[in-house]
Amino acid sequence: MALTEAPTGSDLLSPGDEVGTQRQVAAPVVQGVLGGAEHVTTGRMFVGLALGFGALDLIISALVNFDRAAFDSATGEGFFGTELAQRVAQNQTIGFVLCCALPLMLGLAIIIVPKQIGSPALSFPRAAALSLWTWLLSSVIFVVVVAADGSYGGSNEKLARVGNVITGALIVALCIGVVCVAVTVLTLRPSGMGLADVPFFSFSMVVAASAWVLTLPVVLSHVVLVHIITPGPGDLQAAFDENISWMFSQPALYIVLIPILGLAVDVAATAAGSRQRARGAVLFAIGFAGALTFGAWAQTDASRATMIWVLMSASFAIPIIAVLGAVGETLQSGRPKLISPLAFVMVAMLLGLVGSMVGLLEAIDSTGKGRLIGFGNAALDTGLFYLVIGAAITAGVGGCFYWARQSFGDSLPESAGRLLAPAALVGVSLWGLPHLVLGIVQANDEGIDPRVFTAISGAGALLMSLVLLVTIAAGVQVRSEVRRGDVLVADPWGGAGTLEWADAESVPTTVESPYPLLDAKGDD
Amino acid sequence: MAVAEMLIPNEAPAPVPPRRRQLLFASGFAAAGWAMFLVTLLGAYLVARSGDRAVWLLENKIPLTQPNVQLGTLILSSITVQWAVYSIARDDRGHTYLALAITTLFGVAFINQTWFLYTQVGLKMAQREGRFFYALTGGHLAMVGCATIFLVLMLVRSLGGSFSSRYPEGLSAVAVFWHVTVAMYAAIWLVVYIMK
Repeated sequence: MALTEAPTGSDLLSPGDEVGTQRQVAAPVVQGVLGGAEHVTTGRMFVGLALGFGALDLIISALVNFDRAAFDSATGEGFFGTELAQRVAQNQTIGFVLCCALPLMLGLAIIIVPKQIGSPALSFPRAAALSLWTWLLSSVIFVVVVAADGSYGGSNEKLARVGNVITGALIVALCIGVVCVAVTVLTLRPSGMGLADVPFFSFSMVVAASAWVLTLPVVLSHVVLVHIITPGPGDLQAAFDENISWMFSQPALYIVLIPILGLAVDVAATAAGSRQRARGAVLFAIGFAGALTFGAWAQTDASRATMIWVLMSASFAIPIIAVLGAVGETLQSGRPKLISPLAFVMVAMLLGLVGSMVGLLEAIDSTGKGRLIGFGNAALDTGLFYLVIGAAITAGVGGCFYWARQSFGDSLPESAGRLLAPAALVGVSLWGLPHLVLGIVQANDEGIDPRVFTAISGAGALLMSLVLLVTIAAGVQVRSEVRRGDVLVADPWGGAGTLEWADAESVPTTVESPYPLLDAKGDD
Repeated sequence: MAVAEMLIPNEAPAPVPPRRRQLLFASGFAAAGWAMFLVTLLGAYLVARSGDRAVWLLENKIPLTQPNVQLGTLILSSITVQWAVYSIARDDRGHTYLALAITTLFGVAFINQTWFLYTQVGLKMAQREGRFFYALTGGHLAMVGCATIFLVLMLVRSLGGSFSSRYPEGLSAVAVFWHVTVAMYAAIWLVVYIMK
């Protein structure tokens, strides 16, 4: 077996083992943490750290919004000062996407995808570990650099360049990680399980990987292009505005939503204890959503003033509605239990839908020559960004609650989940909707005072950061209890049908159904 | 009956291990990502050139000989890398080693030619054209460098007997990456060196 390969069950067998035996070997702690021998450890670190960076980002976002609320027209600035406010505001977008939303989903996928498809390991586990450590180091440097007057918008020349390089490093790290996940789904499935038979979350990660790999290198090329001229702060600011900021707007921003679609369907099937019908249609909807997120071509204002952009912006709501319909049908056909992960993913889907509707508004506004209605585009963009990122973070927290047994070793408190899901709904709504309303109102009154709106938005960001901090605390608590040796519950939801809920010993070698555990139980 | 027993009867025969193509798929993703990186630089080059068409490359001359020879080298290397895949599919190890070694040589020759071309062109990074020229050709040079290292690794693994007609994935993977590398150079050759 080469260094680049992942061990399979048969690779791990001993001479005396019976036919059909599969075994997982526990790696030493250092090897598991540093070398990626345990994909769960790698994924858990991704998830925990992404939640931490997310909480930090949200607190910063709250401060940015409060700064705008405290804007003094006499001095022309809030408590931050103009330069600091601008630097923090534009770097928080990089932080939310590259340090929180994408790695959160990537971490969950690294933990869950191998288990969902019945594989004992992740493809290229060392590459996944390389991805984790590169991402972690880059994220820490990014935070330090932004704090020390660097990165985009910073005035310290050397640190501004470091911020640019670190953005590239974050992109490379995430691409490496997501390729490991996609290759796992594409190559390590058991016999009989076709690509159309894999659980929806795994399928959505293949689609997401394709979208990420086709989108993020485009940003990387601009990072390289500006870096080779030894840029000054002004060059970097111009590069961000002209060549990088498109990544944080629609349709490219929607890449963070793709895994949510798969997660929602899997959670709904578990909550209902029944199979998802019309699999082909749902898979098509997820693939369609992936195709619509390709936004690298829409980098300039001229490219956004085209019918293709209008159609793509207006269409993203379609796959979300389709998946919501499929989820509703599944819940109706089974005996749904109101479990906290279901609440989280439904909140995330609704927020994603509202976000895509903002895209629809922008599309309508940009049809024809000039502006049709004249919405406040900056406010609409901010609202869309907050809603979409909020949806991704909410779904990620839902994934942590749903797969807590696989991620942390045991279930997170269900009572906490039932409290946090509505809190996330309120938090993200307060965070994003005021900007959305502001953008719409500005169509009639451009001079409207935004301070009340931004103050509400800041409060929403604080509430959402609290949700993340409570989730992290619950995860740490559960990990410490698991280390003390408490008994695990195999399937805390009582209706899970996909393979991640099977014990390692009962993972079948031949799988011909996306719901082998439901088959084994004889459920329809 | 326990769920585990229903899923895996004790008398079940050992399954035939599926043919895994991890390296092939990973190479496909890596090649796609790198291609997007270069296509973006190519687009940026075209936009910059169309904006400064009147003064673009007025101070420097890009000779055509080296780019043409480079393209010929890479086309030949595409044939030789496919020769390696063809040979291993027939367990012809001698030809596999030879084909991989020649392809590696072509890769090194391409890097050498590019370096020589840089000395001939004499573009400075401070010039507006220089930034785009070196980003694009340098990005592709890095891709060829990585592909050559990949080739050497697969050659070493081939010498160690890792690949055969039943398990040719490493060679298929490096061939996929190499073909994309060649295709990207063809686009660069057309845009940068021919349509000056």
